Amino acid sequence: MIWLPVLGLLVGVAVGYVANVHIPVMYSSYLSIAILAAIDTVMGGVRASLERSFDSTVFLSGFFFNTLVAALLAYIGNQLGVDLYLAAVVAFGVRLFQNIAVIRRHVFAKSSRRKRPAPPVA
Amino acid sequence: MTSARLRLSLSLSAVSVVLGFMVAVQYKQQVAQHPAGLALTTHDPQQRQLASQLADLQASNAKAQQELSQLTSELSNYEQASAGKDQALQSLQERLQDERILAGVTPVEGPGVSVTLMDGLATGSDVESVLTHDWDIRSVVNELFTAGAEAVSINGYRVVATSGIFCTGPVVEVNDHRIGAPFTITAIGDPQALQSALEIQGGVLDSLRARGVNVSTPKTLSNITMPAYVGTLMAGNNP
Repeated sequence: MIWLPVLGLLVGVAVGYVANVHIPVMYSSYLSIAILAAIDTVMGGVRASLERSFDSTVFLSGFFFNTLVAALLAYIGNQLGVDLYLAAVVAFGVRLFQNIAVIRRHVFAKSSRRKRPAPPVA
Repeated sequence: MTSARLRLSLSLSAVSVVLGFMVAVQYKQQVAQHPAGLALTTHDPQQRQLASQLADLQASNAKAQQELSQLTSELSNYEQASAGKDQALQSLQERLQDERILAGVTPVEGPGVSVTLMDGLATGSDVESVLTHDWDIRSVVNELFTAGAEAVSINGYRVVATSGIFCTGPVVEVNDHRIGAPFTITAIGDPQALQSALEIQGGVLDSLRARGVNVSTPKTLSNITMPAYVGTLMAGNNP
């Protein structure tokens, strides 16, 4: 089961690499912001699944919504002459690190629980 | 429980496919834009677009130039083949070849001479006189052509009838290419004649040396290869 998302990632990379899709250079900065948002959402999803509070509707809508909003934010910032994409970079970057930290702790807690039957104290 | 896990797995996979696709597209584009690893630091989309347009144009330009030289050599092969055994056609062919060499549109090789002009060391206040100027290069080139040179090049750029050699600030422009000192002027022709024309007493090199310009002794070379002139021959191209 855990291999399915990894397989999906590989399939996506292969399709993107082989397919002759060309994003106009003007929009490539929006795409990079969107990628950051997507990575953040995926990490959020992993974290939620470890905390057993995963909701696929929230996750899927969040993924596409965040991606689009991040690109839109960068676009608006460009039109206004404000580097609004920095806001998206900071916001998603900070959340990304937080989520990864939480995931790491969950993984450690799980592995130590497996070693010792008694639950660890914080 | 199982259905929840399945839904988790499926939605994660769906998202992973989209994410992987976006990452791959972006990566491919980034690599295509900066093949030499030169990262463009600007985030201004317009600048990036212009930079990529410039790179595209340069690439297509280089490709077209390669194609042109290939077609030219193919054409001359066909011409030689079509002349066949006909005596008159063959002599015409030879004349055409000679004219082409003089016009500079074909690569040539043969014996010749080479001389290098360098800026001299300024000893006094008169820095101007020890610099190599555009007219110095021009006079050397003219001297070589007068002495019977069939082909002349400056730092590898072929000099043809429409070539300009002129000063643009600290550098000299030859065929719209900016080149700086030292200037190596190479000529194909009778080496002895060319060398004595350059080294004649009170001639062009002597006067340059008298002014303080660092002029090398002309070297006779047994085999020089010169590229064809690539560029528009303006005089003939305007209808």
